[in-house]
Amino acid sequence: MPCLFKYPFLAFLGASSLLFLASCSRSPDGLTEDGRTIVTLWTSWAGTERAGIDSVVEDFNSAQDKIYVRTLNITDPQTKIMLATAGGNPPDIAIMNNQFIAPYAENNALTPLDGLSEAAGITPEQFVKTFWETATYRGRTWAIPLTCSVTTLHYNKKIFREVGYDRPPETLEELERINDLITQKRDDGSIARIGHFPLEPGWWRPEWSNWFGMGSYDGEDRMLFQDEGWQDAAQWLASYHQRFGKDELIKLRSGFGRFSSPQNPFFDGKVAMVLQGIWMNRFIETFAPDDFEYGVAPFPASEKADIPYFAIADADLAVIPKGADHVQEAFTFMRYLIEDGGLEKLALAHGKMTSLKEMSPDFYDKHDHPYLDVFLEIANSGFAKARPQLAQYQNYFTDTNEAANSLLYGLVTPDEGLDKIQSRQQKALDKKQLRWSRVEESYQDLWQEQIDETKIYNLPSKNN
Amino acid sequence: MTRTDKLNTAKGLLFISPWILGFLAFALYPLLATLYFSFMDYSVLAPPVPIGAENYAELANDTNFMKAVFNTVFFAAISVPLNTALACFLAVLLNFNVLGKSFFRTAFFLPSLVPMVCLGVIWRWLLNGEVGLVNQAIGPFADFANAVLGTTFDTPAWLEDPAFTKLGLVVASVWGLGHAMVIFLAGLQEAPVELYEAAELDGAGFWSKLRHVTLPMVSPYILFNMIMGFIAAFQVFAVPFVMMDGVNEPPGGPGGSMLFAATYIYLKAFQDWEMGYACAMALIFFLLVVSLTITLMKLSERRVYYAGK
Amino acid sequence: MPTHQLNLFGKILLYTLLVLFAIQFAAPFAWMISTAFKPLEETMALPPVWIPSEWKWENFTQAIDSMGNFWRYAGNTLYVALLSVIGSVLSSSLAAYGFSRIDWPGRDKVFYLCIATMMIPFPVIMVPTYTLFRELDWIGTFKTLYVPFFLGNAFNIFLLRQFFLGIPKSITEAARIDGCSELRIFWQIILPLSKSALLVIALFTFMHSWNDFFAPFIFINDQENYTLALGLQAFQSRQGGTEWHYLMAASTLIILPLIVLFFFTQKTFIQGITATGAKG
Repeated sequence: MPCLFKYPFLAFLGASSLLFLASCSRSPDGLTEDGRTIVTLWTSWAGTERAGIDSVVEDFNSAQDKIYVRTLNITDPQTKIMLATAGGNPPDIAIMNNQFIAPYAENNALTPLDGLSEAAGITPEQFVKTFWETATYRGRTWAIPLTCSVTTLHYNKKIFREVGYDRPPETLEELERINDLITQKRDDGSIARIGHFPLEPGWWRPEWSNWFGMGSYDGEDRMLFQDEGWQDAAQWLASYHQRFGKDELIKLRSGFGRFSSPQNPFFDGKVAMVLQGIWMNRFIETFAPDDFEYGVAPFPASEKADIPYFAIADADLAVIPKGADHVQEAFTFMRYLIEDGGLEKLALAHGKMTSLKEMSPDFYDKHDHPYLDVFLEIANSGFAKARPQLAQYQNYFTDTNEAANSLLYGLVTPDEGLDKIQSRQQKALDKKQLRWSRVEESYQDLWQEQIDETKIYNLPSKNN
Repeated sequence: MTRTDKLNTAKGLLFISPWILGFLAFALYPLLATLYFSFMDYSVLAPPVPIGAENYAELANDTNFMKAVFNTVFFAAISVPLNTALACFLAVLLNFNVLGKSFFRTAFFLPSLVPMVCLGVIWRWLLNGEVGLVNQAIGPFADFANAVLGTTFDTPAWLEDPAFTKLGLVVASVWGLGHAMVIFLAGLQEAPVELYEAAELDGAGFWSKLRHVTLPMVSPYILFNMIMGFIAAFQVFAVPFVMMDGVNEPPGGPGGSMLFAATYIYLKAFQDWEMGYACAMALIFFLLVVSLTITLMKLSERRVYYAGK
Repeated sequence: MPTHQLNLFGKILLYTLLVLFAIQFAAPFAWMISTAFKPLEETMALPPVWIPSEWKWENFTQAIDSMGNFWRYAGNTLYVALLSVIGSVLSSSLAAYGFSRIDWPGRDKVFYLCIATMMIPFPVIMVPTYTLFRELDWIGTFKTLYVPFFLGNAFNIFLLRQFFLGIPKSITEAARIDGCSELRIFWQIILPLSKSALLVIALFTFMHSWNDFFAPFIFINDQENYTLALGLQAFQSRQGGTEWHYLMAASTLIILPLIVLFFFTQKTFIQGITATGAKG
């Protein structure tokens, strides 16, 4: 038998491996058909928030002809952006929440923006201090804060009137007295309605100690779970299972509907007071009953604390991941946002505040939030603070959430619970500190180099 | 080595060369690199920093790791024997040459085709505490027991109550036993009819035949299914991850009750970016998997009957 | 064991058990499909509604719209699955041939090594694999998903080797005496005889690739490159699991091709699984 098929087979094998293995080079996706540089932007904003950024991007794309911004949606941004960045395939711009600046910067996953800001003439003074601080870490600037918020007490006015109150509480203790007035139990002992429940929403569980005058982290080398703030907060959390019963609370919570639905417990009257941000107005408009009446006030601190109230400052920021292909173009867009009114438009669309100190008069007129002034005042009061900048933020968040739950339901005594979380979180902090001490020098040199490089960038002039 | 031997070795190696490359790239190198990284502080975006045995020292005191290993072993120890036994039982039932055999076989097999993510989404819906089908189905039984016996059973909150989350996952895993069942069915059909006839002559009843003929005949298949089951169960990730995803709870589920080894390694590596630590964990976990699998094989060696061997 | 050996009671018991189990195995599917067609209010109705008051086909179009780019995900999944199948069939059959039809010293030891690699869980090797792909600049591309299949797969090699061993030696001897190369024997004699086995591994690889979640979850990050499994996970994660009618509609759409494929290839499929277990 002749061996005719030997070569075709080899050819086929070779061709297929060549085709699939060697066609590896990533397509240079840098340019549009008309030669504009494509800047990819990743965000987890969806729905109306996505529509907001889309319209701003459209403005930018039609205002000039050098850069074309392309927006892509992602879920789970904290993980996905890092996976892409570490894999060497990052977007040019990513939108992320302020808690993640520290972990990203400390893992060398961001481009420092100090040089670019200098070249563009952007200064910290343009921004509200609280919000600007969320963009800095280890002495460098890593992001441009965009839309922002602070948390406030949202209360159901109708329920307040029902129990004879026509104003918000002024201390946390008063809030708890109102809580007892509002809370109703059914005949079988289950809770029909509660005044306030620290797990609704569960987003701020790690931060409750702030309302007793102290956070969880001293900003340097100590976690503060065994200090007065958390001691008092733990007693306060534990008072919930003592007053209302663990099983009743679990049952109550399992009956809560989803946040963005008419069954949101605040909208359907199951909870009368919640700690929420400026975005809540949008959800109230969409999902709450037509006759829903709510008020907004600073969320009062405990009498034991030396502050009248506390608020968590929250910002969405734009970052340029390390290894992004178009740093200069990406920054041009970021600059457009803060200098050419893009951010204002975005904030109006999101129903939020901006990170900027000065806004056009238009902004206040057009903004549809009935309590905008309360938020603005709190943001500038000095009592609003962002969540701690920790390189191990995710770990801190998960662990503290768990601890707050256990304290509230009485699964551990306050002493025991705080003892455990302190030892775990102090260890986690020590580990990161130790790591930082090992790499600090090389990282700082590297960053300085990048900053010097980008200082000389010639950014396009402001109006084109 | 003779000349033919040499020639054949060359040819053989040439043929298996794609696999050799795969073995080097996706087995040997990763295992060695895991060992290497486990002694490093490594976060991908910066070169690894050697830190000696620090990762292992930390691991020894990591209660979450213990929890993750416990959860994984707990899940495997319940779901694998249960699935194997049920799959075998269903195969025995089907092997009675029942009417509509292929219909039943398809009915039992189809769920094993469902992709992991769909499985997680579907079972999250089925196990919903309030309107889930599972609770709808068992609710009447609980009510009945409560009415008659005066007990106070309540339908469980499968996804919220730490005591039930893993059991919910076991329930979901039972749904996918079709693959193992088909293997058992093939094994049963291999059993020679004469054996059964001989047993009958000795006056053996149904149970006796099952115990003394069927089980020994399918024992190799039991071992095979158990081993494959354990290997899969030790890697469990997608289904619990999807079931716990986006419920305002950490990925480990309520009370960390759904934190599995794979989940924890993933979280440490790709969320906390402690790759070195994740590698140390992966290595310990790997040793555990290997020793458990080998123990299983050794234990079963004497109990498994290989026909004609 | 034929049924006639059972008495009436036994038969009743047998069929009752089978029907009960069949109902239990079918119920989740039925519930999924029923939910997929319901209006939102009925998904949460108590007691449960099995037959929707109106069949909402638009749930499917809605689900497709809100999942992002469903058709693109489907195309990506298909692309990866087909390349994986090609890679797997090529590389695994080559390796299986080397492990079965050529006698070389140490062959079986190497083969056991190959089998042993099945025991390595993916989570154990995922960090180095990630760094390897990173070095190759493959993160975010489909190559991370299909290229490993071009480099052999222990399970498929094992299956094919079983099959190749069953082909009588005499068939290839004549060709060898004629001086044909091993490649040609492999390509022209062994492969055509093994069509059914190749189909089995093609099917298994296709299913595996269609179902895979962990690897794409880590290696793919651009939404445009999502596979269906990733798209569904992102969809449910985004909306926190409440629009169950859409989630079930999307799940139905993802499962459907697999079920159809199964019905067309049922016989091969069952044979394939049977072969897996044979003398495991």
